[in-house]
Amino acid sequence: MSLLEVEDLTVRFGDAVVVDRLSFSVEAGETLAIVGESGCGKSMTALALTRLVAPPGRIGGRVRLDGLDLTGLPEARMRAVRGDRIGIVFQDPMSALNPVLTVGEQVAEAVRAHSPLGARAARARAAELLDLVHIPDAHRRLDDHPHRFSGGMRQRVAIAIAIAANPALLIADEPTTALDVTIQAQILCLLDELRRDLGMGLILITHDLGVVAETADRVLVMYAGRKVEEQDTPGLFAAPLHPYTRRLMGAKPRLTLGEPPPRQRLQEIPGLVPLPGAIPPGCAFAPRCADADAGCAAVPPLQRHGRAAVACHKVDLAARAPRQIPRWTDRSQWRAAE
Amino acid sequence: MSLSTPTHGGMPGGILQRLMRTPGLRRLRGSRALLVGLLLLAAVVAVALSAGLLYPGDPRDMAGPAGTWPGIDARFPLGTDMLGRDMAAAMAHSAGTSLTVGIAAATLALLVGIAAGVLAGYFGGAVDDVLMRISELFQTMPSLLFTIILVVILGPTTASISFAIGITAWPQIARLVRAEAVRVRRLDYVDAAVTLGMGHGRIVLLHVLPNSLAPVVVAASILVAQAILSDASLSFLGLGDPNGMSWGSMVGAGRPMLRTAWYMTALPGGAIFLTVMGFMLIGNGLNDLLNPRTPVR
Repeated sequence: MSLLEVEDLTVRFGDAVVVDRLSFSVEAGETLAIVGESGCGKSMTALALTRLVAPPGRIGGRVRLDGLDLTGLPEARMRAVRGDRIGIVFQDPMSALNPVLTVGEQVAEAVRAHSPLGARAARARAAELLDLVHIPDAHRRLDDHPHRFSGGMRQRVAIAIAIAANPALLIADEPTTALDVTIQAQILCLLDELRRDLGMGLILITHDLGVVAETADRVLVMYAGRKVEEQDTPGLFAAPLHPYTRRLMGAKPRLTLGEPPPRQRLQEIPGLVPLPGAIPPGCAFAPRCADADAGCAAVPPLQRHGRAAVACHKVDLAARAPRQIPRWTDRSQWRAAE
Repeated sequence: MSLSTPTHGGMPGGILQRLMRTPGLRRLRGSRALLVGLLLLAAVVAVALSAGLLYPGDPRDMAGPAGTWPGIDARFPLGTDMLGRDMAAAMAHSAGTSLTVGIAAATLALLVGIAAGVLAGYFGGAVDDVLMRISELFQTMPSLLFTIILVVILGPTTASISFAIGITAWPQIARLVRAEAVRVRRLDYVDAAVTLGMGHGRIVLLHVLPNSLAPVVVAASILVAQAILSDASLSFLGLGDPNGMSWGSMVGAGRPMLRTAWYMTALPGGAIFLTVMGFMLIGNGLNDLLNPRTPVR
């Protein structure tokens, strides 16, 4: 049994379907990246997992964490799950901390939200947590206010708050989008390290394929609220299956050393993600897809083969499968090979 | 830079300069309004606190010949009124009443306004609608008229006057706090607190309330000034506490003598002016200090 099992997760606002029958699972100690353009329903998926979709929105489907069905849980028990079993890190570290409280107070608050620790013990635990996210001189910085921390440091504090109760699952919603590139790498390393040391499942929501290559074990590509592809990271980068994934990769600049390669235009994907409620019938990507044909008028079924899945009628997954992609278990190996 | 040269205040190399250089007070330099306001307020408070010492006994007792102009009799530096009561004693004793009413009314307005504003802004929806419609109910009525009606119904005592002024003044605070709470409610640290599984009460007290109070600090001092003015208006109209002295009632009482003895009106009027001015200056000064958009002078 996986740590997190999601079945047919659906979020709708009236007639607009924002997340459409999404199914996936996350193992303990595994990193799943959810990738897609803005407006694909990535963040809404994260909110739906913790049942925090704002009122007019309705959540359907099943979410099981460690066998516990979250969808049927009464609100009071759900609140005990939030923070305690699932932690969330948000995108913007600048607004993630309360400016009037010291960093120590905020981390201690998070600790005490789910444990009966006294003020002194919570403070000690807060120092420990800040140390865990590599804030230098953690003890002395407990009494500083957030404005004395840089963006990267604040994101570290936000992560410390999210893992305060030792959650089984950490959801990081674009945790590095608002940061400098060098800081991005540090934060990703930190998340990776915490995942490994604490044995957490990690869901990394991002639109940055570089982040995916760096950290994820498995990738789920979303488009217009639907899963269009799921693969192990090495497989995805070696052979992206869905036309959307291929276009996403084509839209990413390549940096090379030495002789500059002949100038190439970046291949942007024409058009925009359809708005929820105005999703075209059939394959949602067809209007923007260069390979679209008459067969795209029907919603493509999700083909599965092993742990790979793709939703495109032009790809025959079973036929492709023999061209086996080396399945390295140790990620440092393929990272080095890349 | 003019800031580094000793040109501030009227005392060359004086205490003021040295005071300004202590770290806590250095920021006061940026706002002369705040400093002047604080000095005015300190003077009024000092007078109010020392009234009982300086002028023991009832200020309503006849103390000397009626209608003595200020500066004529050394016993009565501010003169006497038409009944021979010491103006200085009356003014000193009134200071306490004015401050009490002003601060009590403002406190009430702040408590009700902040509570209503934070709840409306945080919960939104039906709670917001109900609270804001109630506040509009209060705002559509002319507040002085409303206050008068309440005082007439409740009877004129210091407590009822404070209540009447405070209860008509809270909607402006509620709206101010609500706007801030709506802004704060959408910030990530509130979302983060929700994802941590914190309850509403804890989130409001810990995150939303403290971050919604900045504009209230400025509004509070202006609120006190308004309350003092309302109190003065009430007593001028003869609706004040009949057992107490107040600047407003002194102005009202001195009105018939305006042509022959204008000091009876001008002195308490000036006291009201200076006190209100003090609070207004504090409000403006705080605004200068706390508002990051004000250019540093």
